[in-house]
Amino acid sequence: MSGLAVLCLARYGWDPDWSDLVVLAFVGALTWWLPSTSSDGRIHFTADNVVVLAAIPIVGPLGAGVVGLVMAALTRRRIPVVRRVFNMAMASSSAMVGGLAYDLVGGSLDMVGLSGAMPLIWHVGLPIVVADAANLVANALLVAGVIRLTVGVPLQLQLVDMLTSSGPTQFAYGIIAFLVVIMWLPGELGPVAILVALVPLAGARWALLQYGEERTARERALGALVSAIETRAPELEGHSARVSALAAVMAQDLGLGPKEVADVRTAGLLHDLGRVVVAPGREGEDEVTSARLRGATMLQDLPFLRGASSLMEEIARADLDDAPPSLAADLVRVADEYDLVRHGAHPVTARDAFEGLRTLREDAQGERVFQALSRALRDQDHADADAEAP
Amino acid sequence: MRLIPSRVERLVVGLAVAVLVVAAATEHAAFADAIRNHAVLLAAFAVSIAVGEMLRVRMPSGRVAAPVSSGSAIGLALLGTMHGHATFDVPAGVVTLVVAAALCLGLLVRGMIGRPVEWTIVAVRTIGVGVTALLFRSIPLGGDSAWTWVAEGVRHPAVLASAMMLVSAAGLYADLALSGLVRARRSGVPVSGAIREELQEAQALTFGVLAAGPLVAFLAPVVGLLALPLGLLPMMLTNVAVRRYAANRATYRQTIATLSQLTDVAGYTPTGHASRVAERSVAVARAMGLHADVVQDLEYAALLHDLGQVGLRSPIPDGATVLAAPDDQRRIALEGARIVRRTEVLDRVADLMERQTTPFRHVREWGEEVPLASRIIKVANAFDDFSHGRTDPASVDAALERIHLGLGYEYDPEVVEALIRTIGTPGRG
Repeated sequence: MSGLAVLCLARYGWDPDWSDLVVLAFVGALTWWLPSTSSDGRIHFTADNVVVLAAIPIVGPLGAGVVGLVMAALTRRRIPVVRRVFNMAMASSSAMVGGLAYDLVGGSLDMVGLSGAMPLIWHVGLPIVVADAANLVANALLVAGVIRLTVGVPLQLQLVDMLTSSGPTQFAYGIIAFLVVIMWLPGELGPVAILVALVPLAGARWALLQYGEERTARERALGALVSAIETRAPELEGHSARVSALAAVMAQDLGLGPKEVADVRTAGLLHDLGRVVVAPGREGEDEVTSARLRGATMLQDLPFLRGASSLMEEIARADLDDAPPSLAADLVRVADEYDLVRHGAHPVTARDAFEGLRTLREDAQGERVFQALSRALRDQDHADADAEAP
Repeated sequence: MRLIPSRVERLVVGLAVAVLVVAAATEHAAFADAIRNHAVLLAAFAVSIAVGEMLRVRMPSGRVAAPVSSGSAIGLALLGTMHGHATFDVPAGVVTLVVAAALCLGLLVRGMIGRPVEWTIVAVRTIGVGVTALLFRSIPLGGDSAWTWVAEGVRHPAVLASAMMLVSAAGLYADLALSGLVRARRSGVPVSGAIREELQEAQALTFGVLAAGPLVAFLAPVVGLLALPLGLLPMMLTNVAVRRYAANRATYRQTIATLSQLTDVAGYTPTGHASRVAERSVAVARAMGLHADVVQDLEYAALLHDLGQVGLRSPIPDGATVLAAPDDQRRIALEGARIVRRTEVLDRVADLMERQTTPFRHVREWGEEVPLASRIIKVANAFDDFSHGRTDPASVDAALERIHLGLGYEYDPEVVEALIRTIGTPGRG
């Protein structure tokens, strides 16, 4: 960070309008003050990059770095000093990287003689878009780097996750900085510009946070289906959750994509839905397979369960005809069988359950699935041993 | 079904027409001048307003908003100077006429491509923009109109921005209040409730639209017509967020509805029972003016009210809980509530489900606290059980007769009264 700061100082000097700098730093801090992450932590919204990007032409790249520094320093969240310092360095560095990128593509830092749409687009608008992208990537790289060092998540995975989840939205909001700059400098509105431009974002923030809340609620609502299954078949208490967790670990182990892993997890959770969709006393008239199929069909209309419901359908049909199910469906089926043997009416050891089931499968896919199961069970053992260790 | 316009709707359209007639009569010369001097500018705003009518957003409550159209219209009302164009010095009446013409154009195009056409929306929006334009351009504030401040740049930017926001808010809230009034009359719900719903749900979009007008007006002197797309950009981003929210809200509701089908699919309850009871409960609640949040919880609770039957060892005949013994009814309700509580996010819904079987006399005689929403579910459930889900007059009358036998004893008379009102206006749930 200090290297960047020295570079910016040498290149652009340091003569900011102090009142502008204070206003920008204060508004920036405000964007960090308002809670911006939904309770599940998956939806993140902040307008801080609008402030930082607008700061580049208004108070210079070094000034933008100072705005980033102050805004991270004043955060209200109670975090350890180390993290606060890291956040300050990160926000400040990515702001300066954005500033340098702005300048490199010909962004104007004094705005003198610029008026009309085209000159402003060429010398302010496009450079801000470039700075927006640079700022975003620098930020993601720094965060992913630290997560790699502390938690060990691969850099590429974390980077892709950050840039694809909230990245596009964040990037789009960054373009608003162009409006702020036009109104602030050539429009002579001064600091009022940033307030006018940020008002609409208050609504966007509200809607995005609501969206996050409701998405969590929607997934929790599935818990009621599991609860209904366990009400009908009390002996299955905990079974759905175990199958779901085991199948998901196996899916991850075999390198399935995030979407497929999520589908396997959900299908594991709801695979016994067929038991509830037949009224008591009518079980005989209603074959297990057809009940299972109806269970799967019930979920087909829910867009976010389409993948899981087709897996459930596959599992139901696999009992009917001999066609082997897809790998994902097979994982759920094997996890289910394993858990029923292991925790059934006559519980057996993990080894016995595993060996007993393994002898029934000789095909290549079965081989892969059981290898994944074996690794998952070994990890489980290690985790249990660690938990028991003093 | 085509609705016959209510008196309120005719009044609103009449008012808008009156505004336009007065504007045309007093400002026809200025209008002709404006068309001559600002043809390109006016055409750009008119296109933006008309296109905005194609990009409407439907909110969960059913309210329809056209943020791009509203934002452009307010921008025109507030416009002072535009880079590369003559100063936009036109009276409020001209702005209103142009906006109304552009809205009509949008509506015609909607009609041609087979989308629904509502004149009241045009009327309401014309009045809203008229209010903004009048306040901004014609009402003197300390000597001059606020428009003069913009054109001459004599006031502090903060004062200008505040004035712009205030007049935009005045117009926009006039628009919201009138739409609430129209919607209330149309669906037979209390006016205060409908207006409150409009205001609350609109707030996310309202912020965006409120700022869009001033943004366009502030950007125009620097970037010319580009101000229109640029100024609308923040609001469009808000719009994307709001759409995502609305879509997600819909899938959440769908998830609950799927959950409610469990008892249908398993054959415990007659097909469609849960969704009919939910629809009827919502209609009754709206007719009684319940708050939008309560109506939402009520809808979920009504959808799930029979969920507890999955715990029964043998199904009750026809799934009709109304005929089951009071103890069984209570057990089903408690079991359902227990299942729902497991989600940890539907506790309020579970509370409503738990008390849905309590007879009204417990409230009357012992002062037991039973939420109104639970009493509504009880009545709606009985109505569907007794009418076997049929809507022919004989079945409806028979069901109402059975309910009347338990009036004040089993069922809350006020709820029953509201139920009868909703049967008069079916299908608007």
